[in-house]
Amino acid sequence: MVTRLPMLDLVARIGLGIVTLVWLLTSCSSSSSEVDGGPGGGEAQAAKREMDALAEKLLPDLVPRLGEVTEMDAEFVERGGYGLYDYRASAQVLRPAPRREALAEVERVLEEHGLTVESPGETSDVTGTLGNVRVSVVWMSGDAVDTADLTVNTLRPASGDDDYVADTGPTDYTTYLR
Amino acid sequence: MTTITVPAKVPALEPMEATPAASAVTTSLRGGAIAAGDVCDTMRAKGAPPGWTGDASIAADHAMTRFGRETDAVVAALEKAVLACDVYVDQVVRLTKEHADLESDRGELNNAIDALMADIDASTGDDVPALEARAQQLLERSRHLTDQIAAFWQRVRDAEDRLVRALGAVDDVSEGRSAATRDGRADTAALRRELAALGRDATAVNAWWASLSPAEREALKISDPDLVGNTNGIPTGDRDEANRGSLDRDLDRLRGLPADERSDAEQALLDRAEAAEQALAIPGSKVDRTTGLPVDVNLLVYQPGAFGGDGAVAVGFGDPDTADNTAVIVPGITNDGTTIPTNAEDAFRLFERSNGAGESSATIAWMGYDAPSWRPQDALDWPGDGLDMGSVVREDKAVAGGALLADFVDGLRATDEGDRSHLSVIGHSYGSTTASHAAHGHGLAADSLTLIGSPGAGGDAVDHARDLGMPAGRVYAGAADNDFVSWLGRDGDLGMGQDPTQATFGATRFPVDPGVEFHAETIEEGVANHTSYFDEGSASLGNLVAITRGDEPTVISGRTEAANDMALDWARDEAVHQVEKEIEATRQEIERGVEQTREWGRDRWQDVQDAWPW
Repeated sequence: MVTRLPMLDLVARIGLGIVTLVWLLTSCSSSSSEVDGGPGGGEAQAAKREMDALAEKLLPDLVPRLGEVTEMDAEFVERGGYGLYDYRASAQVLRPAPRREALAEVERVLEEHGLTVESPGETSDVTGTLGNVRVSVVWMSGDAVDTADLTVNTLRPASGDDDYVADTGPTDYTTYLR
Repeated sequence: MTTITVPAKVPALEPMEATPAASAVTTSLRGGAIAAGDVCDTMRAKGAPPGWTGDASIAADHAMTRFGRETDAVVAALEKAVLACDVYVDQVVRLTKEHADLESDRGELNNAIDALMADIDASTGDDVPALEARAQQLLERSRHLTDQIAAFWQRVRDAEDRLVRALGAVDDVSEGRSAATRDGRADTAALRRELAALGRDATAVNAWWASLSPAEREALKISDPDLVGNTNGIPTGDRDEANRGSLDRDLDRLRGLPADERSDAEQALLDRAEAAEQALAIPGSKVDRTTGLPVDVNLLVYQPGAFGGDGAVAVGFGDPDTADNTAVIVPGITNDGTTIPTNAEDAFRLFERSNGAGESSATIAWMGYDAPSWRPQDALDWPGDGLDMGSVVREDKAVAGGALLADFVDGLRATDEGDRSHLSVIGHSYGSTTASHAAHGHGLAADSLTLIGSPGAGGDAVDHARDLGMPAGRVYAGAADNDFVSWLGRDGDLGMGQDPTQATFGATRFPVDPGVEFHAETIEEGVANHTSYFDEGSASLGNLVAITRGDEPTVISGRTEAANDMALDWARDEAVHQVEKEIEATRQEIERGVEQTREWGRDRWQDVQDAWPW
């Protein structure tokens, strides 16, 4: 099938390999402060700032529609060893308000906070996005207990901010609920 | 007036003082016992330092022998203490479940009492017989529940008493010495030989392990935690306990060293140990909705020094020995023992989404092979990590990893209890090549094989999904259109095998979000496309959940454009883009130059006007 152009394949493969290596080297040495103000911040810091700000306003209105949240830390999670970071927080609500009754309320709260509500299909029951932040709520039934899983995460991974991420501890989102 | 006697509401149960988290105490004790055992072995194996002679040498030998004997007494005491704690924690887990059940029964009873009171308030004389019957029924339920609660607290006290007695039996030196020398103490050297004789036969290992007494198992976990924790066929819970003991020992020892006194090798070990610790903590206080208990997290592989220091590790969520559905995720390039938190995040997301709705799940991030990995700080280390990353162009690590993966899955099959678990293997990136080699070359004992973001389905001998030897229709493939790694699959000698998403390959292809188009200068977007298969809310995750649960994913037709042609298309478009970008940059540069020249001219004209006042 493809053997008709073996040299082109080889060139493409080597080209892709070089691109990957160049990117890896670049990501290891990039100065994140060039991207967005402040030393050692950059994309990751901007992502954290955006998501924290939204969570601080949204969660006090949203969480009571679902139930009680006792633990919700936001932190950076790296993708493999690639130096790309997602900023993410999730919480599990035990014995939540029934899905059918809470769904409209949750959608209303998301819209009130300016999020675009969408229905992504198979893994999330309600999803809202605003800028680089996504909020989703999934109701799941279990033999022992039903749950609603609330997740807030950035959509685009941040790159080149290893030091900033390493120095940034988790942010406790439950403080926004008090 | 008629009086109907309604039982009083049953008050809430006091919370239990001990929780399943008490297992952390057992782990610490076991870690201490392992460390003491290591000291004991060292003392016994080594005599006076080389070159010592005469009385001092003899005295040193005797002192070390005595110290070794005393340390062994500590180990023997701890063997008993750990076993007692282990039994106690098992009881606490059962009692915690009972506590929750009793609380649930109490709630239902109190609700029924409230309902009866309301009906009485609204009743007429005709209703009295029926109301009295209901009251009598509730009275009996109340008495029965009160008896059950009393019996429950008695069981709690009994468990605590047994633990206290067991600990009291080995709480001084003489008791430790007698425990060490007593007849019937487990002969761990003999057990080790027996296990070695079984080789890689996971079923035989499982049967042998089941034949041991609890004391023998515990002694082996303390004397040989690395062996117990990483031998396929030993049950998950026991592997986890042994590996957590090793982890606890390593963290204690390595964190105890001042940072500036740690060697590079010690720092690398600590990095891997801390990564494993971080991965184990991912669920936090989240509850398994099928059990109502904290999520069962298992350290199924822990070998921080394996593969030249890259490390081997596997972390699982849920119990694969009892789960209805189990998924093993095999990560690819750039991963090693330090990246297990990331791999485990993916596994935990799959666990959260697949566990429930009448079926229990277990998911495992298996970094149990030597993937081509990368440490940026060692980029110029050649041959070192540079060479390690360079091995991505070869398949030898995937071939070797395939054998290890097949053995690991055999172990899961051997420890599976009850009805046969539905077992899926999901290989990502180079991990898909590894999983394909496990399937083609080693008879992977899985019910399905899923290849995502695959650079190739493993070598020249695999031309079609059927060559992987999986059940018919149970090879699944998914790739983002803009995942450049998925453009590498090809026929022929070069590369890692066929693109499994090709229509001609015959796998069941499921849809994946395409990802964003990227250029060389935004290559991180291309990398994001390659690492988005487990993203919350993605089409890919939804399909992986379906596959894990044994359901069919959404199906789409396979690619008809050869993977390498997609790479060439990108390279061609990219060349045009770069040239256009260069032209645009040059145009802007010229415009800036012209503008600067104009400004210069205007300024000079102004200078002339200023100097010539006509």
